[in-house]
Amino acid sequence: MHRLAQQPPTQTAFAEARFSSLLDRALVLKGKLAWQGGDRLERNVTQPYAEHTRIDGNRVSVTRKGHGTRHFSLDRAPAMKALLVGLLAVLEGNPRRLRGVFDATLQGRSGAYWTLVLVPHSRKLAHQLEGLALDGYAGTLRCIEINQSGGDESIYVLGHLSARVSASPTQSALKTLCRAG
Amino acid sequence: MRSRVRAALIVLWVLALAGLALYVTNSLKVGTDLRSFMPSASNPDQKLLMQQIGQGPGSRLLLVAIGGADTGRLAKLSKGLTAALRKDTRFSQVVNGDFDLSSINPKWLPYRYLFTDTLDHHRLDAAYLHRQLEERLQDLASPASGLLQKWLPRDPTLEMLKLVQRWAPAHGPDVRDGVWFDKRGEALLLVQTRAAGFDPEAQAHAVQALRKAYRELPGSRAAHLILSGPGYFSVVISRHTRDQANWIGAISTVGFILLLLLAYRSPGALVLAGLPIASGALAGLTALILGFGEANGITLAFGFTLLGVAQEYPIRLLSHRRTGTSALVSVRGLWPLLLTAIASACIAYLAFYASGVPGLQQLAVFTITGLLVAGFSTRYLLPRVLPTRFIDSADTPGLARFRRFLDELPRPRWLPWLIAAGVGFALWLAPGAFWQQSLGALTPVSQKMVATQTRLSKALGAPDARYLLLLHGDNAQSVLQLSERMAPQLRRLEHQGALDAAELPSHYLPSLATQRARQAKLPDRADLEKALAKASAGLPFRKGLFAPFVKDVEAARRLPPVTPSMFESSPLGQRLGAMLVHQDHRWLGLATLSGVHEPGAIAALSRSTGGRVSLLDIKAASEALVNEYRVRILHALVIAAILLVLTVTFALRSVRRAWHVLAPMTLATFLVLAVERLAGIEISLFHLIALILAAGLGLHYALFFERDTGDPAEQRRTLHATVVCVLSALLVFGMLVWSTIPVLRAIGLTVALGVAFHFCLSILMAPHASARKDDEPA
Repeated sequence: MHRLAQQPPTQTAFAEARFSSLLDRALVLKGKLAWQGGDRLERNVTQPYAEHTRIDGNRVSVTRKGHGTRHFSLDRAPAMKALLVGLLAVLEGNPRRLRGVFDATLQGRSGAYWTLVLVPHSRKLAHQLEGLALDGYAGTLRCIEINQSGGDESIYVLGHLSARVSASPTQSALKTLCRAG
Repeated sequence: MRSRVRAALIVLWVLALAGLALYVTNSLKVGTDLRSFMPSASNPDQKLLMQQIGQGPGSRLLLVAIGGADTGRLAKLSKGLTAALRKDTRFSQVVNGDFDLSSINPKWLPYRYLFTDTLDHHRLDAAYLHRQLEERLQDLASPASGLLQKWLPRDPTLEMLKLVQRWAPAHGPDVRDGVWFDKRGEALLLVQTRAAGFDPEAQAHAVQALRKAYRELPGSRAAHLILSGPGYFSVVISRHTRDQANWIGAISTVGFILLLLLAYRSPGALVLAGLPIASGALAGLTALILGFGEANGITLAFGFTLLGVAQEYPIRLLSHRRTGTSALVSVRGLWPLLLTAIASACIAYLAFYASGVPGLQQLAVFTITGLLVAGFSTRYLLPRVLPTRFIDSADTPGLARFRRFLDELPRPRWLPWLIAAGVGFALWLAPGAFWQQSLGALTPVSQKMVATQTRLSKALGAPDARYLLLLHGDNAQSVLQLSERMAPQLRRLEHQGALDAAELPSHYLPSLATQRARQAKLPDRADLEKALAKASAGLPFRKGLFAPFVKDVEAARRLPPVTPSMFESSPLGQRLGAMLVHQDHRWLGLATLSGVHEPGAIAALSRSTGGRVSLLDIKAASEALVNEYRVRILHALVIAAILLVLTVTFALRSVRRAWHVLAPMTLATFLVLAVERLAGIEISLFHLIALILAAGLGLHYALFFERDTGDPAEQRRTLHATVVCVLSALLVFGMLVWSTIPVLRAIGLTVALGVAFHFCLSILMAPHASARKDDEPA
């Protein structure tokens, strides 16, 4: 895993596809994720509208144009928490930190493709978050799949791969993209 | 035979007291409302003021902060505490910034369309709904989408959120984890008690319940609870006062007993000498029960203090017993003077009755009854039960020398005039204001508590305690309509910076007319469904997702509009109830203002409405009330002073002798005032009460020193009695000076200074002391 580690600050393009039970097709956002080191992560949405999220330790602030800034703690945004945990585990190259919170199973597949499946230990966290999966190819993280309780799913496609996310992708198309190219 | 009669009399007396004590403990109700010590209101504004001070929303507010842990834990504690307190009937409202919509009775939910102003500006048509749905889509993709998911199908235009924001404090604290936090990272709560703010006992129960609820929360030990607010202050003050009065009282009681043992060297006489005061106190309590049905706690505290004068009666009797004569003969010799003293004290306390303040009237009834009973039992009962063996106080070692020392003091005739001139100058030159102006001085609070209160109320955006905007109307609806008309004008003043925020009754409940107008703008089912279909074209929302929304709008079209009485049962009913007051056939809306920077601008607004809206400056009104109160008490005191002069003159049957008694007493009283004013102390009601007590004691000294018996032994007995009285008063009241409670300190300092001055001046100004040189016993 340490092969994936990077030095902060570092940033990457992302495309997030959100699948909700309220919607009949995916909601797609594009922008940049930036890691400043430690527990400091920023999620900067640029498409289709502008929204800026800053995570610092347990504190989250979300600023959207015309809506001001909202503050809350990370515990209230389970999807954000999963994103942070998954990303940090990879960026810091420290799997031990992951194992403290999740049961991790590494699924190797054809070629250098791999998927790390993470299921939360604590029942409390499991109440909000079913689990997440990190998909990669050799030394590159390609996607983070976040499964929230209640059936909603967010798939973050990272790096140059994000340009290949269409306006209304299906869950299966995205998984294929993430896990096999 | 005689001793058997004596024993029987003691037993009868004690039994009678025990019976009275039993009656008193069974039927005495102690009230704790501080307002019975405030003057009665004489105009509608003052009436409202008194009502607001005790029961107004501001006075029943407890400000709560939880600090000392991380945000997540504090938020959990805040929510836990809120949930626990909402179940407790002692609290009428608990808010922590977390507006948990699921706790609202579902029957209220469709009303949201009648309560928010959305329909005043928009129709629920395709264009408006489309804009709203687009925004909801962005909300859904945001990291904070958790709450929205659940409510989106029912409330796509976020009316509930608008309502919550409308009902939250205008400049409220930041919300983190769904609850209020201040800049220091403490979770904040606003708790409104059902009990009035100035009812320390009921407030104490509420505070206790709050603390208990907090302690029972898991993880509460890792954080700490900070309380503030008027109700909490009254709890702290009454507890501190009681604690300090108790330990100071314990020490001075022990000292007092030792002093009397030393003075009379007879434990039996000491116990018996307590009977007249006990009789007086019990009779006073009985009079309160019969006359008022209850006694205020403060009446009792002050009453027992003022009754302290009565301890002099048995002391005079004990000191003035002569070898070879019975106690009965001694008391007959003393009685004319004692009776004069009792009558004068009663007249002085009558001034309290004339003040018209209920608490002070109780005080007058208690002390006058107590003094009369203590006095008459000293005259008619005590001499018959005292042990026949005693030590003549005239033979007390050192007393003769002390008498001689006092007699040889120089007594220049100009001394009193010099003191009087000094007093005049001091009163004229003393720094600061003469009178304590604020009603707040009645409930003194430590600087630290005031700082906490200021910090928390600022963080919570709690309304200004100083100004209230009054909206006058013939009925509740006309007040609400006026309130709605005022809303935009006040908003304009907010923009101009004249004030930070105003909270109007119509914020909580729109008038029936406004509700009906909004209702008329709601589309019918078919139109709404058509508009919704058009609005969601091209958006990814599931088909039929908004069926609950359509159902609520349909329900809202048919609802009967909400009247104030219907609103009462809602979670915010109490809040509105406090802002909509029915008083003497008129209706009043009370709008709270925060951060009033330009009272003039609001007064101008009031003029433009022709007086239908008026600004109540609570500070000015309460100062006017205090002034009026003081003037009333001072008038009563002037009348009491005139009556006192007449009584003493009549009793002594000589203007010259009356002058010799009253001059030192008056001079000493003003000397106390002068010294306190020079020390920068502002004179309050408590100082006046203490001055009257000291004057009562001073009158005794002057009366007895003025009495010329020509018998040196009797003069030594007078000196003995006076010294015992002075020392015991200095002991009891001097101890109070150590108290940290301003009220206790004011009383202690004033009486202790008074006793010392009265003693010195009545000795130095006694007419015949200088005339005599030989005082040795024959």
